[in-house]
Amino acid sequence: MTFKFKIQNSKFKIPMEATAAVNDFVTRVNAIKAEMANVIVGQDMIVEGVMMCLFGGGHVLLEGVPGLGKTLMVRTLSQSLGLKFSRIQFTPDLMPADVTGTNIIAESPEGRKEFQFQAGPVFTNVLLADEINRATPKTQSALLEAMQERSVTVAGKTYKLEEPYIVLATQNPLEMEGTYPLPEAQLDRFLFKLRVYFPTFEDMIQILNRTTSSDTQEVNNVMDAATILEMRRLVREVPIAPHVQEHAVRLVLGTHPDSEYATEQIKQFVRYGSSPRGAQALLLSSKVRALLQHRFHVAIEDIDFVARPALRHRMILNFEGQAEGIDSDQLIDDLIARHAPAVSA
Amino acid sequence: MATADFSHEMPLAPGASEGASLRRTLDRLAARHNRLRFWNEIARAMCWGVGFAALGVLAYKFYLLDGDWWMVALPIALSALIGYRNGVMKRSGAFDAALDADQTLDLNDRLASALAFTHPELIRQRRANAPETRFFPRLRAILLPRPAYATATPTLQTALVPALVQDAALRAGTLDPKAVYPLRFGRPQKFLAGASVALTGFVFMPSMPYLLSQEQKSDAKKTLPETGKKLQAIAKEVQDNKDLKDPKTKNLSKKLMALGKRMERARMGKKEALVEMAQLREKVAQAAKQSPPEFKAQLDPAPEELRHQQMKTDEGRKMQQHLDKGEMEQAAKQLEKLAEKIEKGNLSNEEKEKAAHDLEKAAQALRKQGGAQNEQMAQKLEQAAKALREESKQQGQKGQQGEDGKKQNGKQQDGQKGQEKQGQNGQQQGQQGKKPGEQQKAGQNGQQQGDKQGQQQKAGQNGQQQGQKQGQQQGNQQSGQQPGQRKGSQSGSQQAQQGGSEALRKMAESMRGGGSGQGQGNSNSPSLQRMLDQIKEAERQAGSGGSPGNNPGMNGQSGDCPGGDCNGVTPGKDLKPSDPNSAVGGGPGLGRRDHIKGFNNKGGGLSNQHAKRTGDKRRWEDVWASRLPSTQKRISRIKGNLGQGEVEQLQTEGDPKGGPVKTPYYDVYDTYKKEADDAVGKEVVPPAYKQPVKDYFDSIKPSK
Repeated sequence: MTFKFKIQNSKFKIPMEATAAVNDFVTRVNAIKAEMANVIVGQDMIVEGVMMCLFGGGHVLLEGVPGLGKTLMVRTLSQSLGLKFSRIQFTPDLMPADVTGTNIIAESPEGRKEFQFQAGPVFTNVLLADEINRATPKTQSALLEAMQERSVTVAGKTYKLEEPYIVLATQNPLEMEGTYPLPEAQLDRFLFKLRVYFPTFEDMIQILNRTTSSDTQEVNNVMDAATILEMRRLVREVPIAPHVQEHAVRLVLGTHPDSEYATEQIKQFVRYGSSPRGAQALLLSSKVRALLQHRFHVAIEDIDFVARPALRHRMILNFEGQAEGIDSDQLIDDLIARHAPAVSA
Repeated sequence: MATADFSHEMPLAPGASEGASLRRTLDRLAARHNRLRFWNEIARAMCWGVGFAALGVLAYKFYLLDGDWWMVALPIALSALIGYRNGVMKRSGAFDAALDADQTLDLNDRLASALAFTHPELIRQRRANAPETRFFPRLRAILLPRPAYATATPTLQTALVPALVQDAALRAGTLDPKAVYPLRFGRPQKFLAGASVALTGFVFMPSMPYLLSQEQKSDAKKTLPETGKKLQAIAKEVQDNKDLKDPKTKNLSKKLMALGKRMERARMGKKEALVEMAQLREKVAQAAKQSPPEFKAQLDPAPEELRHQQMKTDEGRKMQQHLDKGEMEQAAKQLEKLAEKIEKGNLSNEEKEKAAHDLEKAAQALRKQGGAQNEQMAQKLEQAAKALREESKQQGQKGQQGEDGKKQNGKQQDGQKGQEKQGQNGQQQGQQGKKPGEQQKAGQNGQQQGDKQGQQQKAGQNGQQQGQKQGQQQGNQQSGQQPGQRKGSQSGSQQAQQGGSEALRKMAESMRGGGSGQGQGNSNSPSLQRMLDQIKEAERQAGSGGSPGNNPGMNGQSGDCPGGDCNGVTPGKDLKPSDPNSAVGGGPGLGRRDHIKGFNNKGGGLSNQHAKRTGDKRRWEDVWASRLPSTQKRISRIKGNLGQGEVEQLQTEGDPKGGPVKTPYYDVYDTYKKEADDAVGKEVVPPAYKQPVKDYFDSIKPSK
């Protein structure tokens, strides 16, 4: 960010505490990025998006064709964070109990047989739900409680999940046979839906060099769970002015076809818009982004920056929109353009 | 860790000084924004005003539009007012300025966000007012909307807010308002400048009558401006009269001034000018009629003066009797009778003396009234009185000379037997006859004797010459002109008498209450009368194009509006001569004369049925007056007294009790037309009078 004027002598000084906190936040995030960059080539925006979700307290849905390093990215992230990591390969025959865990009959040391809860892979800090759309909706729904309430209820007993908790799910947008599209409720629980794009030419060369040689990169643990929670608290301290907040609300309301803030295209091609979770996602992620920009406040620019990944999976296209191949990102861009602030004449 | 050291539990309140500093900076910024926006709004609105004004001036220069200077200033002033209103209404606050500064300087909502936390009351959002139900509040809401604002919901203070405020104050301290709101020469300003230049150019551009016809160009160049100046002069004269307090007259003078100005600008057509002049003339005449009695008495003392004079003629005495009774109409008739007598000239010597006396008294009455025109009229009356006295004397001398002639020559000639020449020492006697211009010549020693007027003796000659028009003859001979060259003119004596009789008639009309008001001396109000005269003069001038004969469509007398009604017609233009000799002018509502088919259409509204059919209720005189010969300027109704002269009786068959008409109008038309044709076909009826009768029947001719 470059400013058009220089800061001259001023009697005011920004509190060192706040400045130091923000700088520290940025430094730590950059450290994670650097560790991930040792393994993952390119995909900077995807990494930043994952960071926003991590420190915003949300989950990520990664969408991309196979082989783009989605799973590797998640594994690397968990390694750099020093958190517990679980991976679930979603298959059509996967059952909810396979995700959440179940009670099994076990013999106690006294020789008595009793039910004992066998925790599923959901009990972790970082959960990779690989190819989540290959499981049936029933199994997919097993994650609903875990993602939202950070708890799992089995046989009437609720088990709290350990914080920080983040689910990173992947799905293949092309291979639709034998897949089950995620239900709206499930989609809504993801803070971001990130699209993993194909690497560029230079990135491909670098990927080949890294993966086809004997040189293997080690990933260091640069953060712990307590720091992540502390950074999450800092994120929530970022103030947001009313006019910025209203901008976010206008965008969320504008995703609904019957709203006065909606664009003509949204009115034509969208069946249902974002839930209030979308607005929450906008604000939380934009706060992270503001800190990453060394700012103490959320700007409208931050809202616009995170609008695509935060809203794209919350807009349900109608039949006409699907038939026309309408891209949600384009609809969001139009919405942002419509509500862009302008300098008064 | 830095994050662990950060105290989250105790949110820091933003510093007051930083907030105030931020506020001051943003207020300065808003003030500049408001100034710029104010001028921008004025420029934006004035674009239209100046543009319209420029187009108006351009149309004015091309004679497409007429208007006063304020019509140019009005749209400009109006647009400036609208711009002022918009500029005042659209005032920005500190928060708007902060938003703009953030946008302009890429501050990412720093200033606006900080202000939202330090001065949350400044964040205003326009909200809709409840619609007004009553008329005036609703009108006021439309003209001067007062927007209502809602303050945004305050946001929670967080630990990073002080840092945000300090950061914003730091950046605002060095903020340059000109960088946020630079002085721009935007599109409105450019358009306004262009329109102003165009307006200035159009104002100083000469008039371009390219779209006018030759006739219109001529009118616009000379006739209308000259007439307009005259009207303005009389209007100014009336307005400058400090004694004049009648509001109606002042109002009329203002209208006259306005009309004069319009005519001077020459953006109106001649037809329109004449119509408006006629309308104004009607109003002036009406105002003169409706003047309050005391006002009349104050302004017109002539009848009062006449009442106290010693009148000798029968008509004069009767007039005084009527004046005593307040019967102005009857008194006016007596004056007209006297004028008629003088015109006809069949007065005895004694009657002439009496008439001369009365004329002198009338002149005195007029003179007491004051005024230039009154003085002129009084002089005319005195000249007429003098002429009458001279005639009386000359007739006495004529009788004496006739007796002398008998004694000398032993002959007496009868004036009605024509001429008789004798030898060198003989006498020449002749009859002048009734036609003016015929003269008798006498030899050197001859005598010439006429039967009526005048006798002249020449020094060095023995003969006498008598003629009907002694004064004229004398003048002709003295100037060396041949008498035959002055055929048709009147003698000086007759002219004087004619002038006197005209003056009497005007006085009579004045007595009636203004009427057509031919002179100031007869006016109820000198100012009104003067206006009336000037308007008529202007009508004549404008109608004849300022120089009779210049315009082929004008017959020189067309400036008079027949019956005082020029509405919708242009005297001198629409009224074309209908006969080849131009003896008879056209009439209003009549088409061009076709000598084969008669008048094309458009009847004159002469009969009741025709009036019903066409709505034209003008009287016969109104329609046909202008078509009479030019010498007959006025319509006179001569009423005979019952028992005098022959009475023609025409027996008609019909239902004496009245009732619905049983014979259709078109059945009797031919019969009456034939009778009328036969009547006017007689030689004794002048040709100029035949044509109107024929036209009348043509105009009421029933359609087949």
